[in-house]
Amino acid sequence: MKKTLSLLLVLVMVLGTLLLAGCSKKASDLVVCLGPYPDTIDPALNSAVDGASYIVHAFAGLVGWKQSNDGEQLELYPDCAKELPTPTTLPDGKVQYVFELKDDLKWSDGTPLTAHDFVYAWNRAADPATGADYGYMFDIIDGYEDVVNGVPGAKLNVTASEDGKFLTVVLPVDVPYFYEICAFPTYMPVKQSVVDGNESWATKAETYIGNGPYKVTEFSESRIVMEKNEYYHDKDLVKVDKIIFAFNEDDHSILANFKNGSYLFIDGVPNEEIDTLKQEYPNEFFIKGQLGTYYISFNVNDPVLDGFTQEEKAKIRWALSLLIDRNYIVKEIGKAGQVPANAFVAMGLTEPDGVEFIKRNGTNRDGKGYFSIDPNDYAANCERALELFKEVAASSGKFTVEDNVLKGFPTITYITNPGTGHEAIATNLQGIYSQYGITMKIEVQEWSTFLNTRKEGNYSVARNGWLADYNDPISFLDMWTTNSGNNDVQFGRGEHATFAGYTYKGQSGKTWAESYDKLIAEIKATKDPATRFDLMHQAEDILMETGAICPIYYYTDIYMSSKNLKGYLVSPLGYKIFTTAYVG
Amino acid sequence: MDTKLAKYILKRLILAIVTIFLIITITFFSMHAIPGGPFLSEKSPSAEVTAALEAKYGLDKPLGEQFVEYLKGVMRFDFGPSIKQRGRMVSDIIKEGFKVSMKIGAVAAAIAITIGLVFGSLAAVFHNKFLDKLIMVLSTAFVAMPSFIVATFMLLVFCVELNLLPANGDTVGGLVLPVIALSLYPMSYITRLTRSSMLDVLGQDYIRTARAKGLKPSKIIFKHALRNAVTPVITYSGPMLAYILTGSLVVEKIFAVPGLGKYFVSSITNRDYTLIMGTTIFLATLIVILMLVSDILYKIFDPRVDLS
Repeated sequence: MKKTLSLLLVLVMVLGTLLLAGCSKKASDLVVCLGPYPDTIDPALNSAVDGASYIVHAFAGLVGWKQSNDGEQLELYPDCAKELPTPTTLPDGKVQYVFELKDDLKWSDGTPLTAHDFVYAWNRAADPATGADYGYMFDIIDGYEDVVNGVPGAKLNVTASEDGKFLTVVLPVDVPYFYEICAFPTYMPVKQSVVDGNESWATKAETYIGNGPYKVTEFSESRIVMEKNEYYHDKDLVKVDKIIFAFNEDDHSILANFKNGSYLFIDGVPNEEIDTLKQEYPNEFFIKGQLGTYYISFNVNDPVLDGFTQEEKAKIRWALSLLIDRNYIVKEIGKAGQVPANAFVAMGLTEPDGVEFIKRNGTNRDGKGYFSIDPNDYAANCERALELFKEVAASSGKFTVEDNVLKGFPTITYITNPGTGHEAIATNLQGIYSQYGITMKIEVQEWSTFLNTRKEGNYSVARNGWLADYNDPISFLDMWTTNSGNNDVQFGRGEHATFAGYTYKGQSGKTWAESYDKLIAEIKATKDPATRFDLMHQAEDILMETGAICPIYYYTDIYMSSKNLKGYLVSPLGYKIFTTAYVG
Repeated sequence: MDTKLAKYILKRLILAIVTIFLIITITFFSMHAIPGGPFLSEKSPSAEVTAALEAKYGLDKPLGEQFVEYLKGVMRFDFGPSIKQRGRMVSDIIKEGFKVSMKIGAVAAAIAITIGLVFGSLAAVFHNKFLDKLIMVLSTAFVAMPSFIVATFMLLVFCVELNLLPANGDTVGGLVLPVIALSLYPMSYITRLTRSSMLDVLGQDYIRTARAKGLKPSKIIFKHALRNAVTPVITYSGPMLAYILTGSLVVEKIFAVPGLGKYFVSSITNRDYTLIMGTTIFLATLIVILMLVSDILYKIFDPRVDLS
């Protein structure tokens, strides 16, 4: 027994020494952390921002992002393509883009890459059998409908010339954001011979063949290591030979690693640390606008409000929305430079004439949104809310308003997923509503349950958020059509389907399908950019009129970057790109 | 005695299979009963894609049929592909995670058992003296303090303020803190167990006899007393080993260790059905085996124990 014990002790000591011996730190590598181990880094299957960042290092599309010459903004440039082609209109009215590929493009294993590889990759991603979250990104390409509906032998109208030099893409209608879409990870080429029949190709470095500035040399549960790809057509662009993307899922641990210099770049920090970090790291803490909106969605078929007419329900939703003090939420809860929102389409999107979309939002197209978010107008907003409540009280007779307090108003339930910020916002609303005699219960549901409840429409009020897929307002608008998978509000479904209270181009008395769905379909088929944007404003008018979408703030993207790290890019969709980065 | 032992092991093995079958059944049906599914996200894939994915993983079939299919797979040791981590097999995820967790866990368990036994014995020998009180205060503190506090505290002190050790388990040096964080609780628990059972043993007649014989105190303690005091520690160590070897969610998260621990929780939040089953079966099997081993160890340490 004694012998065993002493043996054990020796073992412990030896192991301890070994562990301590491995403590030396290497500072020369570019180590960054963008999140935990990703679900997938297959360009077709990925739908996450961190995944997209890894993919744009290992793959190159027809189009890419680079720093503009003035260094201020990012711009699109031809990556695998020789130039951005001018679209031509075909006799049948469809639009055709012909991309000429650069000469001698190669995969990271040295084999040639041709236009056929794009044809294969795009068809693969669009095919429902592949199970790509972003399969719908191909709905702008001719032939997509047949592919999705499983018509035998259906393919996207994308063809490669015999020599593989040219890629011809046909769209039913031109879309202004097509070049940007071509820079999207789902549109990256993949190598058929490694992908076909090998489900796990994207989980191992050996089979993860790309065509981007970097190639993956290690992919484990703890990190992705990428090294300069000698076969990349623009390899002189790459400054750092090796990037290590470390995986870490704990905010505090990520921050600790940044503080002690292990990570040079981190994407996100713990919410409660934001104030301190802003002060302690003024030159290393960054807040950037992001194409997204944090909002609250109401269920238009909420049984709690049964008995009220659709008009009354809309007024109630509006009143509840007006009572929210968005400036307080942004300042005291969000704390990350978020911008109070009074419309659903977020800031950062520009119209063809260069004016920002939100500068023209609101029913008067004056950029004042759909209500005032001036802190000085909050009191007036609350008064307006009370008036709306009084109107509903009078017309429905279901509750009363005395001394600015509602009596007999039904209890509403707010659902959210766990999260300090989400729960704090819920509590804030609960407090405000209770001052007016409105009881709001808060129900915190575990993430997956929450998503399910919201999607199925089994809720009254829910926390919600949306990040655009590309730089166009339609990415905020087409999600609200009746059959959209993201229509959490349940517009045009159930009882709401027959409600004819919307206006379509000046004609009133239209249902959701006759107004909103129709507008969206028209926007997608409109060629003239000015008309298109006008229709999108009209769509947002209808959307906001329902009161069912209650915007809180426009998202910001927070990250920290060591002052020694220079030359990296952050795309409008939040991708972090280190291709041109260097440690200086 | 050997046939008796063999019979006993056989009986326990049969019981183990029944236990694991019950665990599979209960887990399978309860995980399908919770709302939500693996294909939900803030951005929903189209209905066509969801349908195609459900067909691909057989989730469109009736639950009973899915269960039978799954059992058939388990009997072939085929745990299927992960539903959420596309392209990875459940067995590969468990194997890779377990390699890391086991390494840390084994060292942590060795430290916990060794130091726990030594400190526990010391506390008992120096009963009511200063050393005893010090050990008791520390062990009570570490039993009471949740691991996320201890681990966060160590992260702040050793990785940020002093900057002595890496804050992530990516390097060998980064494993020092996770090992310590993991071992503190079982170490303190074993210390307390050893102390109380040692106190009990030290009051026995045969110890007095040994002392009267003039044996060396160290021989009395380690040969005569500890051997008899160790039984409760063995009982505790079986399941403890199973848990510590399969990793801890908290410690792995805080020190960014790519172990198995996180999957016990994330597989459920992701509704990654096959991974939920895989991790559960793996842990259950490990517990059943280690409990059997600790029962056999009783017999070796204390021949009076009747296994039947």
